[in-house]
Amino acid sequence: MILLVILAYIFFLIAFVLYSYWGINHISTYGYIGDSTHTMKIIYIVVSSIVILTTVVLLITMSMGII
Amino acid sequence: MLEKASFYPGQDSKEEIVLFIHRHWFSYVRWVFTILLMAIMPIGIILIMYYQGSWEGIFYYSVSSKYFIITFLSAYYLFTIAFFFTTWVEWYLDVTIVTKGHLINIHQDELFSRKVAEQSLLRVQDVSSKINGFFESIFHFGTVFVETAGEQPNFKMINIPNPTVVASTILKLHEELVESFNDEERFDEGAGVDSVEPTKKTNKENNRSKLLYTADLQFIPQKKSKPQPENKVIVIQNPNIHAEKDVKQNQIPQVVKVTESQKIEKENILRTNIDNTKPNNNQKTIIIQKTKIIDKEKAKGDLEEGKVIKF
Repeated sequence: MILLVILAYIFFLIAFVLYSYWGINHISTYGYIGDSTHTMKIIYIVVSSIVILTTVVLLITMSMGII
Repeated sequence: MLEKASFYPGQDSKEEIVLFIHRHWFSYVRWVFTILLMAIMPIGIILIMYYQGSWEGIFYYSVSSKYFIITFLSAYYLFTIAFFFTTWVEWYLDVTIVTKGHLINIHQDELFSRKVAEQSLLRVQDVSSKINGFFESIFHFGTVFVETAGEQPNFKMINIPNPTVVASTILKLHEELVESFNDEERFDEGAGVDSVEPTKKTNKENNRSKLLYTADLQFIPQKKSKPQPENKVIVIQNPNIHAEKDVKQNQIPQVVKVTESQKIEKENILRTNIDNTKPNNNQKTIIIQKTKIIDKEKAKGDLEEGKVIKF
């Protein structure tokens, strides 16, 4: 059951990364020089990375029995 | 794909952008509330369950439930972030660009769906603005309608800040463009599309030419003669005729004679236009390029630029 949950999460992460990649690529193409798209890209990448890293850390600590 | 220096496909690099309009910030407020609700909702549910005492029962129901809750929450928040990103891109890249000659409306439907509509300001027939509702009146935003001639679709730009100013600016640019064409171009009613032959134009005329062919093919650009190189013009007039009479530009120079006393090297006379067909034989004009005076003392006063020599 745990493996199934983690496998589903990994599939979701792959879809999320692909979508994000094409989305960022899209606004890099159609964004304008000096506008807010660059800031938005940084915010998006940073927040998404924090969420993913936190999840991974929590899963690892749970598997080690700390939580 | 757009180049980094351009704002819309097919933009002329020399075309000046007058207005660059994003949608009003208030039109994104509903998405902000939606995203905040999405972000708060799981936390609220957990807090409610925690205070009711049912949270620990669920969390410690089995080992797999912990993994499920954490991965579900992670996926949920990633989805929320992606949703926020998508709606922001749809809002932010929805822009209207007004240049000296064009009106461009870029509509970002979804993240991967984009529509660019471009129209010449020459085709604009009527521009109107509309501010409707409580929030639109308070925050000064609304809708701008641009009616165009022919079968071209009309423009409807929603959530535009200061729509009255935008509408008046578009109208003003349209009028300026029409005036510039009326001043510089010749309108030929009998000319059809086939009769328009693109001609080489100077850089200064490129923008106008582009507008010309995309906007209205009934206008034919007036062919302008190439600017003459730096020439010295000596006008030799018969003293019997009124000496003050100016030589018009369209008068073609006539019989040329250079006397020996002027000491001009004939090899350096590069261009002379002689036309004997003109009826006015009283004026004699010579166009001399790069004249070289051998005897400066004798020629002094005779060949000064713009000097009228009488004989």
